[in-house]
Amino acid sequence: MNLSFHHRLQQVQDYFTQGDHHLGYRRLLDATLETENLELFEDALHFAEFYEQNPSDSNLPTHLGNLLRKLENANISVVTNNNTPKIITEQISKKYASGNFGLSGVTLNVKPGEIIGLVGENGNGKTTLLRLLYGDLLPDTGKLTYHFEGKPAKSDAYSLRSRLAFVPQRHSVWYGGLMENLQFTAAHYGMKGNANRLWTEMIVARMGLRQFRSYSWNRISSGYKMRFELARTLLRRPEVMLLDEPLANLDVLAQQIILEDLLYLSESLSHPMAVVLSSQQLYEVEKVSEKVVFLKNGVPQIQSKKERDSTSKVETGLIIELESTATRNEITAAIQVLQPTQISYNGGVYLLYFSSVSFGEVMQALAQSGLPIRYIRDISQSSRRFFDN
Amino acid sequence: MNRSTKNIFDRILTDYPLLWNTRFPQMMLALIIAHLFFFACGYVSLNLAALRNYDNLLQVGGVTLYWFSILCSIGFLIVWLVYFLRNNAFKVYYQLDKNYFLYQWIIIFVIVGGSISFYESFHAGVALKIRKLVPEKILVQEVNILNRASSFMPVNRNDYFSLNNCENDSVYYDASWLYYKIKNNSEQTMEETLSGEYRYDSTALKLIYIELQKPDAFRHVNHCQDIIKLANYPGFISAKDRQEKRQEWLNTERIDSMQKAIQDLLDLFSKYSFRHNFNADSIARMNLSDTIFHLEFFDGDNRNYTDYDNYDPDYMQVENYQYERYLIGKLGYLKNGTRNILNLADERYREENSSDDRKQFWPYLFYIITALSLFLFTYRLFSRKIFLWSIVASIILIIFLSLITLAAKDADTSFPVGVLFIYGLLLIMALITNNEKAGNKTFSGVVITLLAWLLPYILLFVVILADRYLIEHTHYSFDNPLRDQILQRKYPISFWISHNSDLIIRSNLLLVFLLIGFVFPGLARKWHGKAEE
Repeated sequence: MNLSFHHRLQQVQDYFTQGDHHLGYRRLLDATLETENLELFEDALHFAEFYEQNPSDSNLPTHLGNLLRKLENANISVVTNNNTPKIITEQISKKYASGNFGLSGVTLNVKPGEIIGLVGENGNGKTTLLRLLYGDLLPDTGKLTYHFEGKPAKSDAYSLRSRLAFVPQRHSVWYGGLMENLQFTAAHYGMKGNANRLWTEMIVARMGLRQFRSYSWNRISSGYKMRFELARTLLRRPEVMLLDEPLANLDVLAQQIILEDLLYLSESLSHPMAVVLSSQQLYEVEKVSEKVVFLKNGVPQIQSKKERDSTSKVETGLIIELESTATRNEITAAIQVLQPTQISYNGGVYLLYFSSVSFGEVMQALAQSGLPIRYIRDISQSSRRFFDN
Repeated sequence: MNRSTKNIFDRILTDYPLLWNTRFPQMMLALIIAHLFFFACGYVSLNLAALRNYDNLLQVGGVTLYWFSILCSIGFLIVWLVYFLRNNAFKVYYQLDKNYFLYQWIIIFVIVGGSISFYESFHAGVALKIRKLVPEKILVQEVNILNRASSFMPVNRNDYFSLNNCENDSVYYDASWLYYKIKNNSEQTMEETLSGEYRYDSTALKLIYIELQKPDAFRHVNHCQDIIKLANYPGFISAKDRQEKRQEWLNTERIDSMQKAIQDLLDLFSKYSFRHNFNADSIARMNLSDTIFHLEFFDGDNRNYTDYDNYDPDYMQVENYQYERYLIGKLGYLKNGTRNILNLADERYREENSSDDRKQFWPYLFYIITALSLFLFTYRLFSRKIFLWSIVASIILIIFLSLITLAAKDADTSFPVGVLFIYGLLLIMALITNNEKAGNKTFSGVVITLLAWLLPYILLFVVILADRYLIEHTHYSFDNPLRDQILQRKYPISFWISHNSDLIIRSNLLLVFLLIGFVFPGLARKWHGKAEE
């Protein structure tokens, strides 16, 4: 019995006990998927059906307990050698033939169990970097190597791309029922007969698509199309997922869920994945990413989670993002005593720069001024600071 | 869809995704039903009475069937393409079975082939019905009846020409042609009569001329003709085998035997719905008159004239009363009609060398199937953009080749040479572009697509060139018996190609099938994995 797996099952129990049923339900399915055991899939799907039809039924804990007990006894093949990067880029650069744009000097290790977020304003090279990683573009300089199953990947470009699951921003249309299409995908990855059905049903349940199983592509919303794409990608059992703006069409809640799910899935015990995603949702991406690559005019600035979480004072000083209905003069007056080095305003939010004060002091000054504050955030360690206001 | 059917389709989806994605089971089911329908239509479209309306298998069904089968083919292909051209596992980089492309190629080929060959099933139904209506044993019996009775039914003077030969009927036609020429120009000498004829030097023609001058050039004893010659059928009695008995009946005036033979044929006319009022006895006795040109006894009337209103009485060589001309004309008409029916049946048992031998047509059908399948297959392997650019490039190449052909002195040679030259260029370009890791994917995709599209015709152009080469480099007459030997010695490769064109055309189909199934997918796979730039 793997302790980590045991811990995850305990989390599931806790979520249900604390009333966070939806989160518990998703994590329960994740845990079941870890087992890769078809009998447990069958049990989990029975539970899923029961849960979706009777979310408040008094028998739910009993059903859950039965399933958790079975899961506790399941064998998990935990991947131990998890440190070899799947993709290594060494100073890769790319300039388009049209000459309009170039990406320069990206050095990156994409490891399983990690999410790398690509952020930056539009047209600064996020998609270009993803396409380079996917093999859709060839770097002009630098080196790009891939490792799958612990070995350097074959040079056959098609095979390589078949192992890199790339989800573009604009999804291609899939015809027919969603369930059929997902089963079709699974069939290409060795899932035959009943195993195909069970895997597909599990992923469908996990992505919250059960009620849309018989729907066609045109009948589902953009957000669900993204979920469908993720489901399709997960059925390919990829070692690397490359996602271009996966949050673009999702509401705020869905964004958080998807990102948390991606983090959880990437940290799978039996099938850890490396995830590279581009997004404009800076804070959401920062929360789950091991590294954030900020791209500006094709030049990368890479910040690790460790750096972001560091409490040491950064050279730039304190940078605060503030949203308020107060005027610039009122805000300037309120913080004048703290001697801000710069105040910028883009019509929506203010960026306040200080050289030697703490976040608490700024909060105190603003509180004392009595100005209406809608939102305030210390972005001194965040990639947000790289964006111009 | 009931539960068991759904289970079957689910199993196909999970275990054989290619079959599911190409809708192969559904299409095969639909095609089998459609082919059975056409086969059944062919089978029921013919009966004993209708046999007399057709000289050839392909006439059954007529233009209506032809267009109907084309419409059905288009309908089937459109419906299939609506589904087939949708999801494509290759284009989204799914892991594919190593034989995925070969299977897909076979599936496309089978479905396209099945969709454009309804016409063949119809004729297979017709062919089976003909065999059913005229079994082989009956065919031999009836041909024997027709041949035997026909020798006692004088309808054509030429049947009785003294130089007639049991083995071949070339003399028959020469005599017929020359007889009229002499009759119409009775004042002319032989040289004048034959002057200007391409066979003036022919000794045989001169002999025929001389023979025609004799008063007994046309006699009963000379008759030795098979209305239908059956090859390799047990029980068939040839004219030569019949000749002795026929002569004996005439010499001994065996009216009853002749009457029996004629009555058998008259019954045969009736069986095949030819209406007549002939009397076997009258016809039999006609054989014993002084000459076959003085027909004294004929029973019948002219009320059924419309039975053979397409008949041309001028064809007759009987210079007697119009009424007699009509009667003899009708007799000839009935014989010809029956002969056509029995020929139609004969060709069903003798597929080779028949006028409607479908096997001869199959290579052409397979080329059409290959060409259509290639269009679809390349569309599946490459993108829509590549497909459209390839069509544009093809049109440009055709215009370019046409201009070169128009400008060249020898159009027959310059077009194939141009095609082969362009194919060589495409091959070189494919080798160069396919080894690049990135580059203009549209260009390289179009090059590979054009290579695939042109592939089936390359060997055919080589055959054409070999033929042209032999024609251009030889001055030997086609009548020269040594011509082949000389050509084989001097131009062995061209000679071999030219003389094995049928084999090459058929082998080429197999070669193309294998190249498309095994080689081109590899190129497409490499192309698809290549970076955009």
